[in-house]
Amino acid sequence: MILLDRVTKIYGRDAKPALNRVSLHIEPNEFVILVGTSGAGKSTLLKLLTCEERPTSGKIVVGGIDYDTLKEKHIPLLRRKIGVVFQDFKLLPQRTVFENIAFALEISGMTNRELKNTVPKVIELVGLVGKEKQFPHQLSGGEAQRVAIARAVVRQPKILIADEPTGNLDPRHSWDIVRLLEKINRYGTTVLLTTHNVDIVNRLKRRVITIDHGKVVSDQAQGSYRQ
Amino acid sequence: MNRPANGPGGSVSANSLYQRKKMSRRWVSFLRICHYGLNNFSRNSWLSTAAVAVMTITLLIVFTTAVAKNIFGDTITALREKVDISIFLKDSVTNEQRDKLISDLRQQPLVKDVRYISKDEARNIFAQQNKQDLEKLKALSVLTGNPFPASLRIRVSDPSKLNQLDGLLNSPEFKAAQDPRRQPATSGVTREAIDRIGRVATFTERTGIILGIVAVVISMLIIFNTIRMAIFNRRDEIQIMRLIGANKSFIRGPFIVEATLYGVIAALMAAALAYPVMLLKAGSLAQYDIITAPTIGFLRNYPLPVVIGLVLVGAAIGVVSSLLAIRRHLKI
Repeated sequence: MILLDRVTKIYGRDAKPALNRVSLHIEPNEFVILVGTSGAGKSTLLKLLTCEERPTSGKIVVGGIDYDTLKEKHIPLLRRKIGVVFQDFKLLPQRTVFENIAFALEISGMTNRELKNTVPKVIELVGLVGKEKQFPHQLSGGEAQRVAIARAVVRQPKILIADEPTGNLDPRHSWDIVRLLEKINRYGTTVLLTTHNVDIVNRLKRRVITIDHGKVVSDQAQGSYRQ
Repeated sequence: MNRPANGPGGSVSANSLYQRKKMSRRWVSFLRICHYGLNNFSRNSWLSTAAVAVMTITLLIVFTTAVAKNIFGDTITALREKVDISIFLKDSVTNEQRDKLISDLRQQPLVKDVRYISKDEARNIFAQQNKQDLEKLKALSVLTGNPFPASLRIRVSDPSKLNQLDGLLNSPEFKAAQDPRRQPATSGVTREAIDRIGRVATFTERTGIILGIVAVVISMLIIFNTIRMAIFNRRDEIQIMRLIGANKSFIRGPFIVEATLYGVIAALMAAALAYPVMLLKAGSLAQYDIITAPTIGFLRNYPLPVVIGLVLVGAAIGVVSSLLAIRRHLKI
C-alpha cells in the first residue's frame, strides 16, 4: 500500500537531510504507529506521502501510484485517496459539523442528494449523531477530532494518516480517538498514526516504526515506545 | 474491430453514463464555486462595498468619456458640413463665364460641390430669412430692381484647408467676375471656431482617456488588495481544501467569482447613475447646437447592449485583478 525506497529529502542546499535513505513497506490494511521526537523527520515523511513536498531522491509508491510519474494536476486526485487528520483538527469555524464533513465531498462535485446519503452514515460511524448542526466552537476537543476523522474517511480513502490526533486531548478522549481509528482500520483502511503518547504506543501492540535524525532506527511488529 | 453501438456488455452505454456523470459533477462544482464566491462577497461586506464603489466610479468615467467622445465627434462633423463660402458675382458676368468658373472650382479636390444662386434666388432667400421682419419686407417691396448679386456657393470637404482655394479665388479670371464691393464670405461657423472646438474636443477626449486609465488602475489595485485580504482571511480554509484534494479551479474559482461580481454590480450601478442624467441633460446641451441626438438616440434605443458592454468591462477588470492577486498570493 505504501512503499518508500531509499527516500531522501533535503530542504535547501547543503542542509542536513530531514530524511536520509528511508525505506519502508506498509501492507494494505495495516495499522502502523510512527514515533520519533520533534524534528526527527515524521512530518517530512507525511508531507511526502500527501505530495506537499517532493523527495530529493528515492522512490515513493502509494496505492499503486508512482509519485515520479504523478503529474501536478493529478495531485488533488491522489489526495482524495488519502485521508488526513491533524493535531489541531483544522475544521472550518463557520461551518456546522455536517457541513465540515460534507465539504470533503463537495470538492469532488457530489450532488447535495449524494451528500445527504453519505454524511449521516459517517456521523454515525464516529458517534456524533445529534451534533450535526453544531459549530466547531461548541464541541469538545474529542468531538472536534471525531469530526475531522469523519471528514477524512467520508470519501472512503485507502489510507488514513493521523498526525498526532491525540496531541491536544486528555487521556480519556485520546483513547476514544484511538479506538475509533482501530474501528476504521477494521473496516479496511490502512492507518498511519503518529504520536508522542507512550501509553497509547505501548498498549496498542501494533507495528511501531521509530524515526530519529531522518532515519528509521527500529521497526517492530508489535512494538513499544523506545526512550 | 466493429462493435455494435449498444452491443453485449453495454460498454458504450456505460461509457456514456460515465460521461454524463462527469458532466454533472463539473456542473455541480461550477455551481458550488459560484455559491462560495457569493458567500465570500457577502461575508466581507465592507471590503466588497469599497471595491464596488471604486469600480463604479471607474466605469462612470469610462462611460462618460465614451459618450462625450461621440457627442463631440458628431458636433464637429455637423459644424464642418455647415461651412460654405460664397463668391458674389458682378451682374455683367455671362452664363459662359459663370459655367467656366463653376467647372474650374469643381476640379479642385477640396471642393465638395458648387451651387449657383441667381439674383432672383438670392432675393427669395433674403425674403425667406426675414419673413418675420415686416420693416425689411416692406423695404424689399418698394425697391425697384434687384440689388442682390448672384453668387456661387462652395462647400468644401475640410473647412480647415480653405486657404488652399485662395490662389484660385485671387486669379485674374475670378477677380474679373467678382463683385468688387463684396468680399468672398464664409458662412456657418468660422474656421477659427471650428479649430477651437476641435482642440477642446481633443483635450477633453485625452483627459477622459487618461482619467479612465488612472481610474482603471486604481480600481484594479483595490480589487487586487481586496482579493489578497480575502485569500489571507481564508488561508486555513484554502489549506484544508488543498489537503482534502480540491483541485486548483475549485480553490481559485470563488475568488474570481467574487471579483467578477464586483464588476457586474458596479456596472449596473454606473448605468443606473449615468443613464437618467444623460437622457435628461441631453436637451439642455442641444440648446448650444451640440449634436447629442445620435449618441443619446443610441443610448435610448439600445440600453441592453450598452449595459452588457459596461458589465463586460467591469467583469474584465475584476477577473484580471483577481487573477493577478491569486497568482501572487495563492500557493497551491
